[in-house]
Amino acid sequence: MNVLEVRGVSKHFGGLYALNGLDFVVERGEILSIIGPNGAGKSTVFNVITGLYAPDAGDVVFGGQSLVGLTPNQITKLGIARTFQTVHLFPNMTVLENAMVGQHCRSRTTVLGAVLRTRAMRREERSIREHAESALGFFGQRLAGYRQDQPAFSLSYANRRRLEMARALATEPSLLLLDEPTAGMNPRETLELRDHIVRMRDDLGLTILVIEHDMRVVKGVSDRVVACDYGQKIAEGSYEDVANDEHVIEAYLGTKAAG
Amino acid sequence: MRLGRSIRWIIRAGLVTGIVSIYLCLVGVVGTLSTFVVGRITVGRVLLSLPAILVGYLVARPAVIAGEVQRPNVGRAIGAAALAGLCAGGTLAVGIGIVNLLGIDTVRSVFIAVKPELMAVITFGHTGVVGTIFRIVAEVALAAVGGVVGWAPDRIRVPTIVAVSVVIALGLLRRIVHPALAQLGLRDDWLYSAITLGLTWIGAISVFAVTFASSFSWRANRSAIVARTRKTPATEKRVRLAILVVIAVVLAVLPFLVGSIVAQILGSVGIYVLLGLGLNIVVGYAGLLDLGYVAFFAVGAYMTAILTGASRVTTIGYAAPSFSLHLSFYVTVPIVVMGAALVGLLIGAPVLRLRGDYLAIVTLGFGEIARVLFTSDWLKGLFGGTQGLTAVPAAPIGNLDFRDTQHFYFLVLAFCLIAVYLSWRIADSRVGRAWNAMREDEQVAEAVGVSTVRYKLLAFAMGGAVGSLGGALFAVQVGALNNASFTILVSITALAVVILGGMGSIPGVVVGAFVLIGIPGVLSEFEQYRLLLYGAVLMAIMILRPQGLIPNVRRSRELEEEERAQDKWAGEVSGDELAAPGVSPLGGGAG
Repeated sequence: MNVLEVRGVSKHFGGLYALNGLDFVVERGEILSIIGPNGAGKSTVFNVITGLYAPDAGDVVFGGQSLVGLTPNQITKLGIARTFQTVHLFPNMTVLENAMVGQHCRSRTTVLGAVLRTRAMRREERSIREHAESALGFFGQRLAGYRQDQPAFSLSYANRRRLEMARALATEPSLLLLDEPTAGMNPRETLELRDHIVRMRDDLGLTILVIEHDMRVVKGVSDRVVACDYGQKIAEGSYEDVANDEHVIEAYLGTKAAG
Repeated sequence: MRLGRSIRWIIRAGLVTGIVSIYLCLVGVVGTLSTFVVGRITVGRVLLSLPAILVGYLVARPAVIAGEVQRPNVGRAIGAAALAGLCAGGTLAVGIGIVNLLGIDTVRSVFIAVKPELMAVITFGHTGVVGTIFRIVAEVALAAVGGVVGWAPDRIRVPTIVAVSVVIALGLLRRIVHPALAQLGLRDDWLYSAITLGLTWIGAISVFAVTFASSFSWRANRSAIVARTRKTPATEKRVRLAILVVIAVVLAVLPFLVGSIVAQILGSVGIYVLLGLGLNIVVGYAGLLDLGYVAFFAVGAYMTAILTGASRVTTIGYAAPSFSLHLSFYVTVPIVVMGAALVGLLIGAPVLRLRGDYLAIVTLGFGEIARVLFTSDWLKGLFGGTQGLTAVPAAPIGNLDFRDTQHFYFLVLAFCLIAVYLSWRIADSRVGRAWNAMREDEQVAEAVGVSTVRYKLLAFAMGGAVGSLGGALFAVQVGALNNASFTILVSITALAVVILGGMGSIPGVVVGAFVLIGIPGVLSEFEQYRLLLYGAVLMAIMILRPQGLIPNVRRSRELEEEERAQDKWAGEVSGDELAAPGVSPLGGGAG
């Protein structure tokens, strides 16, 4: 069953087409990787799906509902969470608070509840904290213990990436978009993260759409791969099919010299 | 160089000090402030002496070079201080020389503060070269004294500064201390002279000795005392409870101790605490810079006046406004709060897309629009135009009408406590976290599921509601409203209260209101220099303590981080690849 359908989406900035009639679907419970050379429009499609950009043409359908015209926070509430290509945390809030903000869209305390400190409010606050802690707990000891009360900016680079994912998990999504999750990580951390991505699918039952440059990761995690170039899909299928596709090779390496 | 600082730095500091002293003289603070602080020493004299003492102090402080504290020996430290004093004195001498050369009357035609009295203060009553030499010697001596204090080890230095500050404060605050002591049945003729109204020398010396001794022993035993209070959670709790009780008792008896005039000032402080707390929600929590906050103050005041039944001032006397009710103040307040929240939504809606500087400019306009509307001829029938409204009824409960300043204080106190509780609870909740996230990164907050539209509007509405309480109380306090009460100065002062105290910090707002409203109110000598004082205080805070007096933990992190980002940027610009990789937590471009 299709969780997400991207139907003929185009997006241009001035004269430059970042997306040009892009089509693909994401099926429930799969990990779909999007690959493509720089400027192929990969991050743009994430921004269109999550509502940061409005598409110029085409439609994005999630669980039978069109996402076009919704605000990013409404889309998050529907169950799509994302991470960013460059880490975007709330650097001066603590690690735990960062994850607790993720629970915002799953809770409902208002000003009145906060002031009166009703029993329902306190129960919800406890539940927010527990959910946030369990989201952080997904990464084992990496974000546990004393680190939870440290400001987010004090974390190492890899831990900031993990925290961003934990914050996304705390929004209780059904579809998770990861934008180059292993960028800037060392080989060991990359391997660890590859396992985490697979576990998010197997243990948490998430559907995952991932943009990735590291082909070992793509090979390791992908159920299917979509390759893009110039804002269009140029190949689709299993990792082996796509990796051997002549359009893909051409996009990455250029055409063979004549003769 | 073994001075710790270069000769050039010292000379420059001395010259700057001289210029500051000349500035103080020309502005008039030295000549006109003739209240006595201690003995025959006037406020003006203290202010004239301060720059030299300060520069001596700073010059003699151990220099920190590359993280290493370099402590000069005492002779060199005092020598350096004296050198700075000499430069300051030299600069002043040039000034005195110019005045002598041109004649006092010529100079006075431009700088009206230059009078024979001023020159007498500067030159100790001597004329010509003798007076000039006296001044130079005085500057050198003052700087040397400052130098001794600056050089002294911390256990001497800090108690000295504390004791001197207390003596000066007591000298200035006779108006509060004298009636308070009288209320307590204590005699103070040993402390204050009945003739000069300043401290007597005996009083000053004993106050200095007592404060010095207690500060000294507190520093020596601090860790032991703190350790004892923190021994178990139970003792810590008991200590905290005791502190709360003390604060409560002080707040309860304060207006009766200090007399009705100071109680009125406390009432004004409370009104600005309310304004500050409201603006703190908008600026400190949600990060929306609002320069038109006076709009809510005006809405609160005028709505209260109309709903409780104030009169309109006309050329032939008083008239009822075209619409007015005679509700009780306590029925009015909830209506006013809701009205102000609605105005907050109205102001917030058009500026949702604006950020930072642009938001500030637009809100500045809204503040002005509010003032113009309330005082316009168009709405004259309702709000009385520029003459405004008068005879705003009191806010009685039973026999108590809270008109009396000492009673009014308790009304304000009650409202402030409510506002503090509100701010505190909201900050520590899902709503507060959403605002925080929005302040840190609006786009990401939206992507994580925070409706930034809703929370911006909520911040404007909540901030407006709390601020309107200040307006409502203001209407009751002064009883008459006109266009002079709602100028942009209110917005600026409220913002200064928030910034001075520390953005997002509730105790900070309280302290900020006391410093900016309470101190100038009590020190009425400074009344005409109020804005000068504001400017000086704010500049000093921005340079020395940009996070505010009592910073919010998170907000001070942000400022440090900006500095680190700047350092990193500077490092990159100079081609230095070693500039701490990964220290900057700034994310960078969009995802």
